[in-house]
Amino acid sequence: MSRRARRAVAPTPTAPATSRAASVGPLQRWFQAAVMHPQGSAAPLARRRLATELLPSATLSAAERLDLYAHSYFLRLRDVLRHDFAGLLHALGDAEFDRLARRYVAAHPSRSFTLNDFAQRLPRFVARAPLPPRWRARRRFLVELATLERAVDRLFHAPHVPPLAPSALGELAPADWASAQLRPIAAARLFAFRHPVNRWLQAVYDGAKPTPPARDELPSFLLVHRHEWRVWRSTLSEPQHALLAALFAGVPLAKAVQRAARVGGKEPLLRIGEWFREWSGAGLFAAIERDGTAPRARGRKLPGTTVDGNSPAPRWTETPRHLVRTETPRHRVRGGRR
Amino acid sequence: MPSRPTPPRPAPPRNRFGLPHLGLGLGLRTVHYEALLATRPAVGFFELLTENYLATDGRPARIAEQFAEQWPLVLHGVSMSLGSADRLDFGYLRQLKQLAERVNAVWLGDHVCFTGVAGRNSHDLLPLPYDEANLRHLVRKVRAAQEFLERPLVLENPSTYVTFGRSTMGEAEFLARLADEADCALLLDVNNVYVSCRNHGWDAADYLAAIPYDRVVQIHLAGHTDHGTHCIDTHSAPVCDPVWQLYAEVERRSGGRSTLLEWDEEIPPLADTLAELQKARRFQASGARRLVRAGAVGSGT
Repeated sequence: MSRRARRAVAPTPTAPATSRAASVGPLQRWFQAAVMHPQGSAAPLARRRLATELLPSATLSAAERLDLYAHSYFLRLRDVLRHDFAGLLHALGDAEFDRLARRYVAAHPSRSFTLNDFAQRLPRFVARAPLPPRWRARRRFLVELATLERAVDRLFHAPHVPPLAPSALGELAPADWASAQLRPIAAARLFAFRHPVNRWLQAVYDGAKPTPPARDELPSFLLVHRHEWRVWRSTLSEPQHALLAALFAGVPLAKAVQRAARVGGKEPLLRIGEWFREWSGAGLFAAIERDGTAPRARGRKLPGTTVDGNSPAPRWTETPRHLVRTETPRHRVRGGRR
Repeated sequence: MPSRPTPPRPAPPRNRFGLPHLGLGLGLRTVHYEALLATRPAVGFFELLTENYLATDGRPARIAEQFAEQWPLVLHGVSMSLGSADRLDFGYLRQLKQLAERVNAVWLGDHVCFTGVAGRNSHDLLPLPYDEANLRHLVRKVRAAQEFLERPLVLENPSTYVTFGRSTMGEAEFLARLADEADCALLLDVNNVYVSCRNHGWDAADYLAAIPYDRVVQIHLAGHTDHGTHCIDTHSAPVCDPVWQLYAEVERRSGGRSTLLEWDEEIPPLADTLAELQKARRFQASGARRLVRAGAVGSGT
């Protein structure tokens, strides 16, 4: 049975009546509000009930005990963000990143049992967040960096779709080339950035400590996808990006090549065979769909399939696994007062 | 003079749920994935942190299946939020049930706590007052969750750092009554017993004496951080001597239970982690010897 089939749903039972919830809820809501408040026990809402609800220990006051939870709450979620956004952390530095994280945690508390999606709003949040002066003019770079890092994490957990065998494209009848639609796997995304964020991020992964990029924009094109359970980032040329963007949008192969040719001239026509061999080998495509209504191009070869270009292969870079969060932080990192 | 025959070592008493004794196990962590799959050490079972294998169709899902093919697995969650005033999250429970089926989990469990209320999740094990209102509420929710999951839950004592003024009973009494009234199993985290007793000034011996061992199916061991004024359950260090002594006492009282080592921060290489796990054998043997001695005296007089 497939994983999809196993996920077939059972009817949702009626949740048990929680008549007792009325008696346990108010204290829980107070405790949680105090723990999640940036000021912890010092917040007015916490102080109002602290003395009546919590007891001191022999060594800590009730406020100090509450703050063990409050400190842990922020640090745990901050560490999730630090782990998933190593590039953004390097760019902003520890203190500025923590300020950003504190605002984000307060604005977007988790509402899910999983932390996999906790950071999903961070790129948009970076677009509006207060930033130090040196970063204001480069905000777009930070947003793009956060977008890339978020994509890596998202694709790590994305639905698994078995890729086509690399030979499948070669088995496509010439008559079907023009109208064939190549459907990508679910764990694949394309990006057109205004900055070389992938190169910059790789430098961070390599420990090179890159400095903030120049203000001049330098467009970059990127494919991020998961293959054999690892997330890969590969730089693309603009024609490659145009071709894949068209295919990802469901455009038939012949029209997709035409679109690529508009930005790349003859290059797509000359190198398309090489590109597809590489992409197929990397498990990028999930299916070939043939449009029976489309006119068939009889006997026509896929443009460029016999041409072996001399340009360097796309740069395939595996995202280091240790930088892809897989563990939900479970145990507390508490910086309680001593 | 012929030596006296050694009394037969009593088989560990079965827990009332008939769940098997899986031996010594490890909490599965990403840093050990490859070494474990490559070396296949003699580990009795692995415990998966449930949430790390839900809501993902990537490598964690594949890893869970790979380990399930080679070792018994148990699932241990942090987000069932059984004590919460919120309703049970049946979407979560449904995914949990499917995961348990997929990896053939021997048992599954969570904690005696709430992780969030009003739709929020703190991703922490937040404490409950130990009073009648919380007990009644928790019993109802545990029963409902068990009914949906079609199996008993194995619920762990959390480490706690605050004392509620409205508590009317001790933690061990609360656990015992919960287990009895909800008919659930217990996971006794010995390190948490130590940490909570230190933080609250409780007597660990009294705590252990109040536990219904026929409902305990698993034991947790871990290290903690001692800040002098309080202890934090960091899972970042070897098991300390006082915790080993408590473990020996639990083994003596229970007759032996599946025992798992957790290590979540500053995780050492696999060989060191396995060596720490093997230390448990010394205390298991100690507990077993004392049990045998006590049994021999009792049966011979």
